[in-house]
Amino acid sequence: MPVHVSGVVRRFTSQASEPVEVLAGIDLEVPASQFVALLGPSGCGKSTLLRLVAGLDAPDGGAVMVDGRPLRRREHPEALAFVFQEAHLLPWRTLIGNVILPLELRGTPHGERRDRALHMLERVGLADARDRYPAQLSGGMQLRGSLARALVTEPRLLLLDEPFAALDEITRQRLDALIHELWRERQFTALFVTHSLREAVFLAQRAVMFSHRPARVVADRAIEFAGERGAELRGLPAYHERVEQLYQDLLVAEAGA
Amino acid sequence: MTARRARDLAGRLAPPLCTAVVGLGLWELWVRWTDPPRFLFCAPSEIVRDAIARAGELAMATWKTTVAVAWGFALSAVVGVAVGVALSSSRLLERALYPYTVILQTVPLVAIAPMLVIWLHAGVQAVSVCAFIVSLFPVITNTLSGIRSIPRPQVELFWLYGARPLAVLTKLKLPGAVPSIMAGLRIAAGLAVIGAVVGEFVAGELGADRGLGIVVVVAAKQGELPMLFAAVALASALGIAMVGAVNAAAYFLMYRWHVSERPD
Amino acid sequence: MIRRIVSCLPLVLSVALVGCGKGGKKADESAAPPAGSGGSAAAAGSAGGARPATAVTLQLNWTPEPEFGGFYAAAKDHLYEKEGLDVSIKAGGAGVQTWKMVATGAVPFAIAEAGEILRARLKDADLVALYAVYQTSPQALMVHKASGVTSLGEVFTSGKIKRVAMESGLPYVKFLQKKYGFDKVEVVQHGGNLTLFLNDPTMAQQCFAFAEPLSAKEKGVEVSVFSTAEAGFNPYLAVVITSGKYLADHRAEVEGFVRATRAGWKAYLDNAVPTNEYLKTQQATMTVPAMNAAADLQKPYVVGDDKTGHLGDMTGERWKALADQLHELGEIDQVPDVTKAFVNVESK
Repeated sequence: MPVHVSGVVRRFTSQASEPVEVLAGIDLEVPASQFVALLGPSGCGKSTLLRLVAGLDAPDGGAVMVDGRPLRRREHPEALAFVFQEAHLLPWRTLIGNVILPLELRGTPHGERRDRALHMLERVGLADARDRYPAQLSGGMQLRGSLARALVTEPRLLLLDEPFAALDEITRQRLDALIHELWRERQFTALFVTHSLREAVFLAQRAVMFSHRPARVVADRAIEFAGERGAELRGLPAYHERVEQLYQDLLVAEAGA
Repeated sequence: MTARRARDLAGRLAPPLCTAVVGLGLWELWVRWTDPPRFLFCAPSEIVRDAIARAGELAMATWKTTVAVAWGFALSAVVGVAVGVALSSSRLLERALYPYTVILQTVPLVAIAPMLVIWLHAGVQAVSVCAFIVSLFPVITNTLSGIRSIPRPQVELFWLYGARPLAVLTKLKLPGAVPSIMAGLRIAAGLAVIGAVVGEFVAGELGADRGLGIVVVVAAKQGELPMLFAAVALASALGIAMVGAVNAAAYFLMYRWHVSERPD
Repeated sequence: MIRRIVSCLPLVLSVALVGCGKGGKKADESAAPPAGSGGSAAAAGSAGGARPATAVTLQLNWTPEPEFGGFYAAAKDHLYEKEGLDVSIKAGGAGVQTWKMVATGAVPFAIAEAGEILRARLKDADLVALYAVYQTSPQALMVHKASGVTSLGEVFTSGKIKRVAMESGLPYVKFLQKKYGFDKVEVVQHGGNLTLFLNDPTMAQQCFAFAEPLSAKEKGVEVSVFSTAEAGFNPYLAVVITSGKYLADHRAEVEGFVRATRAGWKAYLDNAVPTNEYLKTQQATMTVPAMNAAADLQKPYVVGDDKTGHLGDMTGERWKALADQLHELGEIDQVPDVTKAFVNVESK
């Protein structure tokens, strides 16, 4: 599902001070099935942009179009899913109960629900834990559950807001690999906010770097590798070059504005 | 029950039981030693003796009060949660109505209760309303705060999937607020008993349908201290039982998933 | 926590019921005559010579009414002062436990009912009755005339009356329960005022035969009155009590109090009007005309059949009869020696 952001402006007002402009006119075209990493200094507005695309927030200027149609205030496209920073599984539901939730809310026929949820859990490797409660799952397992929940409705657009930030390196890499596989299978469009340059290079076909607020796009690079991206990718010099390049972009972004 | 759980239970019950035994023993000895006038002090043994002698009367009175407490508590649970949910749906509504729920909390029951007798039948009806008035407020506030403390991302999750308001209520707001609501109901349970007994002082029936409150008032008038203490002890026991019932319900609702119900 | 709160109830209750009345005014009136402050009044010819007047309190068990007319008359006419007493009359109301206040020594004199006195004495309360205002009990139930009820029994059995307001814990309540049964009526607490009764023709209300009925009539409701004395329960009412200890330690003051009270009642029986006007200034709730009418109507209850030597004296037979009745009703579990319960201090 393609995303088209043009001239988007967003301001936040706080009680004491002047309104702060967080996004100062962002233009972004994302063709269908592209995996885009959104990068930039902390607090620069990457998450804000993501929320605007999800319809969880409305811009003060400019427009957001998803799948060719403009997004009106608080409208949520049907084929969209959001993965939050924390798993936010509902504690009173079992794992499978959580994964079924979107299907319940969307009104999917009863017969299909459990099968689809179970299938998704198998895909993320949690089928055995399906009757456990979130309190009985580790952080990594909860995030995998959150991914399963996000993908159970077969979204055409997946928005991810630094979902793996709190994990250790190994679990993180495992989950990155999982996302990559799922993306290859289903070819959804993905907007992935992250602080990890390595993660961005591993996962994304394109990295967009934002400046300090008020945020503008300061760099927009394609990330291509010959062949499939597997675990060995991280050993290649081409990988490290890309990471280094992004690092330079980041310095520019930090310094600018 | 495993051996370990049995030991746990014993470990938890023994200390307070010992305190009770020692306390009662000292009280008994003091009364026997000083031999005070019977309308001023009495001994635990007299309380037990009179309670047994008039067990039928006390049982009936306890039952009558329990019925009023049950009605009042049930009403405040249902109305309290409903009002809490309603107030949570709109900040405007909350601002418009919340101050009046606070006023409800502060109005003295002994002033309202006589008016209740004018509009309702004395006895169970009026006393239930007394119990209701006194126990309503914590349920409202706790429901409201429970719903408001649901993490925003969970709410947004429901928005994103286009959930209808009823689904949001039954699948998110109510389950999410359960721990808080249970805490409110725990408080309301104890208050309902107090509200019922105090309500009976003024609005209770005097005849065969009397509740514990009237037993207390009449025993005080007659200088029958053992009966007075027995009635008060039964009212306390009722309160403990009510709170215990709420705890049991909370356990069943939450033991699988909530940190508060996990065994230590 | 619940246990702690609820087990404070008897303490709170005692304090509440002893300290303040529920229905009536929270009067803290002193009825000391306007001219009086201890010293100067005493100097004006007290029986005890130049001694300063002893300050004592008389605690009433209801609001100021013709029921207590003689006491107020004695206060107003300086009769207590002549006996060397500076008497404060404190009003009471529904639920004030006057006997407890005397038994604990909080006040030296109070008004109680004979039934209460016997019951309390069996609980080791050291009470002694001194003077009975009502030789015949004016305790009664009143109903709207429109209800069509024609006897006390009908109140409970005819089904025309749905609610009866009585003061819980009073012995006559048990008497009526035993005699007629409470199955057909809802028995509710006596609230201390007539609002409920005035608006509800299916209601019966505890009253004194000559007091509340007049108030009701003033407010436009005609009533029929049924006396419990006629039904067979006739204790002394409005009885002055003191503690045995006080009697032993202050015999002279007690005798003086009874003498002055007796004289006050004589004066009130002769002409109640000036005292009723004085009563109004002491926050009586009845109007003066109503009080005048009541004072007149109550005379036969006060004077009784005058078998005794003095106004207010009591007999052992009456006390024994009451004790037997209470024992039969289960109000007391043994029949006490009633001779210790009362004393006619001025008996010949």
